[in-house]
Amino acid sequence: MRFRGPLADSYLGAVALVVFALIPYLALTSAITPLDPILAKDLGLSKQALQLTTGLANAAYAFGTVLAVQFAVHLRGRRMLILYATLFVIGSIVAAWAPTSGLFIAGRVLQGMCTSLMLIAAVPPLVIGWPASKMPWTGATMNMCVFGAVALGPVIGGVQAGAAAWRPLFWIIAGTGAVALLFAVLTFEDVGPQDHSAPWDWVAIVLAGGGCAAAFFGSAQLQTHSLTSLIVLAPLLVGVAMVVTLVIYQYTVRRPLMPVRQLSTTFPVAGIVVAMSAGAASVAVIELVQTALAAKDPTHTAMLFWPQFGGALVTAALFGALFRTRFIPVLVLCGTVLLSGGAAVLVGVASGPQMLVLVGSGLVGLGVGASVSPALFMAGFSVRSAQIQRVFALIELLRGVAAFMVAPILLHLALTVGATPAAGISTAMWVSLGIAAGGGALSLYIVLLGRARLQRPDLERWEGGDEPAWESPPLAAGIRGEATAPRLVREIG
Amino acid sequence: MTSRFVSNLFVLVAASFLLAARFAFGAPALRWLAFGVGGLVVLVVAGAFLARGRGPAQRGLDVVLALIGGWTVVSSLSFSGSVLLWLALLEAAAMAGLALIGLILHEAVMESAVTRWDPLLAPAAGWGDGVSQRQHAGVAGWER
Repeated sequence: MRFRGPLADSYLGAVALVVFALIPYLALTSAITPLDPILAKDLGLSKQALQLTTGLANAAYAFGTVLAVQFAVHLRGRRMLILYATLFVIGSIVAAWAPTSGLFIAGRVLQGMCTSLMLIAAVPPLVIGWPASKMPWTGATMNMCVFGAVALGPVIGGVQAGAAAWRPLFWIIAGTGAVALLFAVLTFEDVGPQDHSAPWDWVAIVLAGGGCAAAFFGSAQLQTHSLTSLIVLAPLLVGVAMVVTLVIYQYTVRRPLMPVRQLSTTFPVAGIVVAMSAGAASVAVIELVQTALAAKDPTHTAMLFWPQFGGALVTAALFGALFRTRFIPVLVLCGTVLLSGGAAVLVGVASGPQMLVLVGSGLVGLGVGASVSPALFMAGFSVRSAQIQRVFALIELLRGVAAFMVAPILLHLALTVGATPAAGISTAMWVSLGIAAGGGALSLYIVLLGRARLQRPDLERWEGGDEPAWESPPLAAGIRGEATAPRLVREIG
Repeated sequence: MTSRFVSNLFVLVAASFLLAARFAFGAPALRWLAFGVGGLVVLVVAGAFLARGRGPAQRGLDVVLALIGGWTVVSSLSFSGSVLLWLALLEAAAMAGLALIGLILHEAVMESAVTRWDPLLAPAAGWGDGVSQRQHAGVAGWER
């Protein structure tokens, strides 16, 4: 008889699995900056090596999304989830224990990869595996996991840095991973692979892996090199080119790993633009603020980030409330406006009063909470629910590449472009504002070009698996098939 | 008036203003003028792009104009001194030139359309006649 976990029918069990699987690493991505000096001293790692470690861990996170989809096609998803959770626990223990710097780096990379593997393996079943009435709760939970954790990171990292230690945090992460593993076992219900007949898409895997590794390696080198130096620019450009090639390849190939062609309609493209721009701007803003306040007491600095977490909680609840309404695209747009407002307030963070951080981080929390995760669903609702796993994989890959690649570049800009560090941080913050506002404006423009109208998502129809939750017009539908002069003349004549 | 005509005329006037300002003001004032003109060009072209009936040639020009406008915004905030002055000159000249091409293309297409509709009209008839014929035939409503 096959094993079936005692919580296999429990929605709360499935939610707990996703929460404990995603929060640790995502919180760590924004918690690690205040801990850098302690890590460097304790592990004997240079700033460059630490930056590279973070870069490679983020590259593994981005690459893991593609790998997870490929594994889900050919291997048994729930068994793989247990394997991913186990590897995450091992990686976390190795990183927390870390007698040598090499083991710390290996542990961090394993953490990054396993988190995205768990994300793609665990989240889609939570979204579509339960009745439609649960979906708003799932949306709010996703919002908390994807951004709430990132919002909480600076608080956790600052408090831990104030205690002048880093290992306790990493042991807590290992413990949280163990809880995720426990829930993976308790909610276990064996399912077969999605499609044994599908080919292994080695081209996509090589392009995603190589592209992420090269791009993140290049951006990590900015700690000690200029943007125009060969060791930075070459891998950065090659990496970005490989990721772009991956998207084009997936658009053209007959049996793609990720449904790029199906996503090439108005709402998904608008959603992806927002997810990428808001993700990039928010990570950069948080890191810039942490850099600006690096000389201050880390515990005090950590407290200044509480409004960000509060903002994430509020928008998670708001997203849940609006989930069944036609206002999700409006929420996404408002999110980009709030995020831009947050970046505008934080322009003076390096020289202004600390009240700016309280207000700015609150706005950033509200902004990102209202934009990234809702944008994910904006894209997801436009395709059949059966595709949701692949949709999330593509968006998380692109968001991860944008977010974790842009932040080091802007940090480098902040430290090199201005006459003083304060001026440099101000300039980089303006650029972040431009990214957020530009992404929001472009997204709105795409919707206007498609003449898309706001629609209520039909969750019951979507859950059926054969149709999208709403109709997304083709790209630029509003200006297609336009009458040209010769044609009109023929018609008139 | 068609959206093609209005947007190209606006860009031509704005770019000519920037061109003149390049020689009238110093770099500090020109920085914000270039920023404003670049931003306005992006907004106007992006707004006009939403209209139907602009045709592929004009849409190509729109994209290039929007890119130059966007670059003008970025360069106005990124450079200073003589580099800023020369960049503003080049950007203004490029935008004015493209707008002029847009206006010429627009006029050529309109005239060609009228000629093809009735070859007897275009060369022989006066300007007023041409306009009235266009209105009669509904040709002027292409851009709507």
